[in-house]
Amino acid sequence: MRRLLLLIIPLLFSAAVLLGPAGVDPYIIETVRLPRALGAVVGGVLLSVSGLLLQTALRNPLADPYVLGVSGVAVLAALGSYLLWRLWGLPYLGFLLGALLGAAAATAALLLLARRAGMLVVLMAGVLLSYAASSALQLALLALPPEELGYIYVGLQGSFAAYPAGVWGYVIAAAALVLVLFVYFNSRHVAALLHGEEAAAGLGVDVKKAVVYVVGAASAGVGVAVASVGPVGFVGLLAPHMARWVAGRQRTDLVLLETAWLGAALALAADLATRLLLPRELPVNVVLSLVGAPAAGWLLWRYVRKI
Amino acid sequence: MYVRFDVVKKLGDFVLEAAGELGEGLTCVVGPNGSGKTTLLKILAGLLRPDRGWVEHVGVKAKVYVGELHVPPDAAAVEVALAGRSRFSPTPVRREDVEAARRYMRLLQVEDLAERRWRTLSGGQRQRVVIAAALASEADLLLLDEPLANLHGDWRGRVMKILADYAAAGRIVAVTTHHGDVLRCCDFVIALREGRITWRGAAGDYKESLESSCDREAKN
Repeated sequence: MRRLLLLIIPLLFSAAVLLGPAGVDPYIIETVRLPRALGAVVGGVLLSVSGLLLQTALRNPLADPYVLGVSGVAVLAALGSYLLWRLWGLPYLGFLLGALLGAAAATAALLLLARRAGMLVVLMAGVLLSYAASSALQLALLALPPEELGYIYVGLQGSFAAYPAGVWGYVIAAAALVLVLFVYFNSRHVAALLHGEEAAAGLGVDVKKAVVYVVGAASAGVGVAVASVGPVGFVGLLAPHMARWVAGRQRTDLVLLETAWLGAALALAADLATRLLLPRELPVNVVLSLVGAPAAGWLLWRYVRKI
Repeated sequence: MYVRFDVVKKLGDFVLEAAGELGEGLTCVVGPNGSGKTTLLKILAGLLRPDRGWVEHVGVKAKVYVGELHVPPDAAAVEVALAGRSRFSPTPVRREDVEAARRYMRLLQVEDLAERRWRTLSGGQRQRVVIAAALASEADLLLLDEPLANLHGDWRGRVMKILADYAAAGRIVAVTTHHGDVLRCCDFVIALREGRITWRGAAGDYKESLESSCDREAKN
């Protein structure tokens, strides 16, 4: 089973690069399909690892950057920062910095709330945050001149097609790899947070450091993902659960690599489905929500039954 | 190796005012509910900061405190035992960590349950896995809050014997308990009442009855 899973990414990646209405056209492959497939892999990895980190730190199996509004706040902050940095001629740097800052602020706020409130309250607060950020985003878009709207709108919807082609695409992919390695080499301490912060401290873990790492890595993951492919939903929720099921383990350090792998596979599969299975291409979030929302409902049902 | 302390800690109306020493061996911290046992252990572990006073750890290389552990209901028992290996490295647990966790699970006779999900284990089985986790830390200062909770009859004595053996290898182990019947396994006793130490010394000299805790147990 696990060996078969290793094949899934090469298979899906090949399909994403080779299949499409234009057939096997080297130009289309290089400029359109390859960056898009890479975007799905990078976005899938970043969002799934961020989701795993949020689920660990919040001790909440339903945590997901999209559901909790972390992506939403990141997009909003990114757009605000984009408009500001445009004045200095560096709009895209502004977009990235804004996304990182927004994700960090939202993650830290949720973590602080989780110390005082229960799991369902945190979820509800996240959903509200998500709605508020989405409305504010629509208003903020009014500030954008119509000629710029087209390009940026794709990214704001969440689409792997927004992933930059060429050297920037590879730079972002390298950054994602560094992030996963950073989390991997600290994942035992992060895993201890599952037992509660005081318990982790009792076990000899530097909890402050572990929490800073989690917030930092999760925000960096969501920030970079949002800046490159927009707010893509449910990968962060589903991939960690698929990984736990495949690995038969719950500890964060023992499911991290599976999570990243399955996150990439899920993103690739969802993107292929939106491109090839539907008569007209729809945002990838449509397919992901179609699968993600019932899955989240099932997880919630399991949680409620256990209380 | 020893731990010395002279601390004052206020928590609401409750005040803990305690001075003493933990030496190598097994120390039982006894007293009724709300007498400050857990607070004292947390202060010695560095999890709570005393309002006044000091704690001195001399020769202690690693201190571990185990009280309540949250566990995802679907986690396998061995994953919980692996929690004790958290302090060794920030990288993912390795084969040697799994071996250590299983070795202590065997000692507590829960190795057969290693792959069982947490939600399917009884309270007593869970408690033994948690104790295995604590021992797997191989810390030279081990502080355990109510390790005998949920354990019945024989197992209380057996766990105390295991902890005494662990301590006999030149380590400091301190446990809170309100079970008077296990005190013969301890090397030292610290008795607390309303935040003050009422008695401390070698367990053999400890004669005071534990009426209040026995009364409470009877009611339970």
